[in-house]
Amino acid sequence: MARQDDDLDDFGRFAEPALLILISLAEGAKHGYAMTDDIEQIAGVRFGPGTLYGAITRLEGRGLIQRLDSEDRRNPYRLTGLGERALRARLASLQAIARVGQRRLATT
Amino acid sequence: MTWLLRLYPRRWRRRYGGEVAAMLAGRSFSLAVAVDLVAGAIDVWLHPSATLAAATAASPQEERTMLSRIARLECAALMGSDVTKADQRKASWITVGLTLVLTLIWMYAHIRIGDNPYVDSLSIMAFMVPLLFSMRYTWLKRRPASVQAVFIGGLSLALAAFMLAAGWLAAQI
Repeated sequence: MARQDDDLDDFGRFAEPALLILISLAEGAKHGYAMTDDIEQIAGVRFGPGTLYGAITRLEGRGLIQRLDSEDRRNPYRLTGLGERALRARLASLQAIARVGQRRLATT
Repeated sequence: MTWLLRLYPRRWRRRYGGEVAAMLAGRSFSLAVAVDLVAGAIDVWLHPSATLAAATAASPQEERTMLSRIARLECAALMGSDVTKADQRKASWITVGLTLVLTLIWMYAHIRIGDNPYVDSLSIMAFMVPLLFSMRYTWLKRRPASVQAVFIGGLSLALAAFMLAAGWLAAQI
């Protein structure tokens, strides 16, 4: 099946960081350091710069996020329309999986 | 720890290096972060199409990595800077065709003269001369005719002299 541009499945080990970055940026534009702090707050993991930028470069290359110009070195990124669709699709898929898991646990 | 960013490709550093350096500024050395940066650098070198797409789009004049250019036979050092597909075809046909012709000539000489160390030593010339000659259309394209003649003729003569010397040595032994 042909890969969709808004699909995170082929991000490999960067799929989870990429999803958390999209969630972080859903609140508004952020630069790398702010993303790291935000992700640590919402998910309890702190990504190193190699992992964070491994995901950022892939998301940016796919057009899911966009870099904004900045006066200093810390360029912020924002979610694009394509990124928002990808995030909605992934969260819906995770919700469906979570519902199935909870239903099965309830019956045991 | 910013020195570890030198492990990343230049194009990546130009686009993201400043941001990552700003993240690292003021932080003391951490083995976990160092390992993460090294792993990130390896990832960028291994997956340039996934990780350098945005950096490439931002600087189209410096598009594509050397490896991908070599894969496309676009590397100037390998084929010349403006070699067309037609040039490549010509070079291939000359290499194959002339090698066949010179091999037949060498075989004829070998049959006529019989076992002879000098004739034997020149057998490699049946391939090397066409290969050098084909460079007129690739590596030596746009070079003056005199340069082409000196390069192709000179190298062919030098190689022939070397092989004849090897044949002389074989004859002495």
